[in-house]
Amino acid sequence: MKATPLVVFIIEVLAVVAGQVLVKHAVEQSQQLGFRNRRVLAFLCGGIAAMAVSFFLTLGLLQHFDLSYFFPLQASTTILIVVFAAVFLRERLSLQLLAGSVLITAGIVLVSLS
Amino acid sequence: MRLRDTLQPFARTFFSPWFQLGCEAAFVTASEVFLKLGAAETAVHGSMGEWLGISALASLWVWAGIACLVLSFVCWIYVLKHLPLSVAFPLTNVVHVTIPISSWIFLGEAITARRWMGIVVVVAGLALVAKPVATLDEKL
Repeated sequence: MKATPLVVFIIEVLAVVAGQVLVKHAVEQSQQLGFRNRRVLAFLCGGIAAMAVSFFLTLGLLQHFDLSYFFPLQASTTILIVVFAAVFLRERLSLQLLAGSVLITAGIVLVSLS
Repeated sequence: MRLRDTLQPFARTFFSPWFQLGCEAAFVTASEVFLKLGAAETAVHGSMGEWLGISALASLWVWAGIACLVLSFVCWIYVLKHLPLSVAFPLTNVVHVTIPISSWIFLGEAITARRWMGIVVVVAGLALVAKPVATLDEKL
């Protein structure tokens, strides 16, 4: 992967992670405050905006790479999301969950190298 | 009353977060195949915005992909309401098995032996993540 697509890819991964964490936080908050609450809406809109950014960058990357090559690369987001969920959402992080996520990512790297 | 009794098991399955997680994965797989078809149809090389993907919006396949993506998002919000992100998100990686297989079947993309091996490792990882999920299911 050359420099430009690599930068696009890194931004895309960060946007995916931010989108998931923000939307999950909004859904959690909505159970107490409801979906009409401004704070909840702000997190939800922020998450959707991050997902929209990742969507267009994904389209740009798909115009240049095979789907079966590009999509596995994107799974590096798995470990990032598990760690971010533990740090920012205070979810429990078990050794088995982490080991499973590492294995998934390892499989994805193997797929990407082919 | 009888109809309600008959429909109850289906409703229980439909509203299960695990079923919705499966639907989410199915919609994501369909959307990626549609997006790739649309992106391939509209690829522009050498222009300023070639990495932004805006030109792909001219394809109907892309809009079908967007529709599937919206449906997957609805399922995903439901899943997030019931499961922790750190458990649900790794399980969505089942798409790393379904998408290459769909790319092979529907798009004619080649899958090398190493890629198949990677898919097997992903499945092993999913199984590891799924075990604590089974424990979580018992608690629900």
